Amino acid sequence: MESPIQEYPGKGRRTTIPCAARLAASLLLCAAVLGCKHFYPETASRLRPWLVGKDGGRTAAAFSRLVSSVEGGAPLGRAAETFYAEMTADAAPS
Amino acid sequence: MPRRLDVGPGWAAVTALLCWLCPWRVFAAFLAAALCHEAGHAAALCALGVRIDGISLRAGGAVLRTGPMDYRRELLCALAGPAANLLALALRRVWPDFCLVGLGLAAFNLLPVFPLDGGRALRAALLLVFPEHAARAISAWVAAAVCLLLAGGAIWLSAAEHTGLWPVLAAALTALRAVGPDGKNVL
Repeated sequence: MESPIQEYPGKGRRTTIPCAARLAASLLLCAAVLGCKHFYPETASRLRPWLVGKDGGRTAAAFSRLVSSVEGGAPLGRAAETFYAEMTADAAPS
Repeated sequence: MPRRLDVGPGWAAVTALLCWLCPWRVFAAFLAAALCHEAGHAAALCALGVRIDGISLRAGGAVLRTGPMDYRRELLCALAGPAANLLALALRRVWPDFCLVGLGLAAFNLLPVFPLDGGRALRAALLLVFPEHAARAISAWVAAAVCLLLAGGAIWLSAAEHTGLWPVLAAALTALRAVGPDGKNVL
C-alpha cells in the first residue's frame, strides 16, 4: 500500500491527500451543489445574470446573426439565443 | 504506478459550479462536448500508435497523459480534439446545444497559448521548422500577446459592453493554463 506521506528531497516532508479522500470530497461537493440546485434554485437565478450580463442578449443576437449567415448555421444561433434567455429568465428586473 | 484516472478537486469544483449555474440541458451538452473532444485526442493517439497512460481531470480541463511522441504526431494529436468538436457540427440540427458548446470548446482550445491545443500545435509546428530555443521563444511571445489581447478584450466586453463576467473568466482560465506547469507528454 502506498504511504500518504512522501519524501521530497530538499523540501522536507509533505502530506498528500489520498485519492479516495479526494474522490470522496469531490463527490460530497457535487452532492452539495446538486442539493443547492434543487432546493435553492433562486440563488443560481440571481447569479446567472452576473455571468451573462445585462446586455448579453445583444452578444447572443450578434452571434446568432453571424452563424446564421453561414449555410446551416441557424440552429446554432437559435441555441445561443435560447441559452441566453434561459440564463436570464428568472432574473429580477433592474 | 500512476493512476489511470486522476481526479483533482479543482475539476470537481468547476464542474459543480457549471452544473449549478447552467441549465441541465446545457450542462449535459458541455459534458458530451468535452467527452467528444477527449475522444478525438484519444482516437488520434491510438491511430498514430502513441501510448495513453491515463487521464487527469483538473480545473482547467481534462489532460491525457501519453507516452513520448515526435513533433509531427504531437501536432496531429493536438489538433484532433478541436477537429472532433468541429466534425460534430454535423449534428447541429439534431443536438444544437452540443454543437454550440463544442464550437466554443474548439475555439477556446485552438487559442495559440501553450498548453492549450492550439498552443501545443503551434509549438510542435515551430519545432519542426526552427531550432528548439527559437521555437519555444516564438511560442512564448505569441502566448503572451494572445493573453494580453484576451485580457484587454475581456475587460472591454465586460465593462463597456456589459456582457457579464464570462469573458473575464475565460481570459483568466487561459492565463492560468498558460502560467501553469509545463505539460510534458500530456495532451
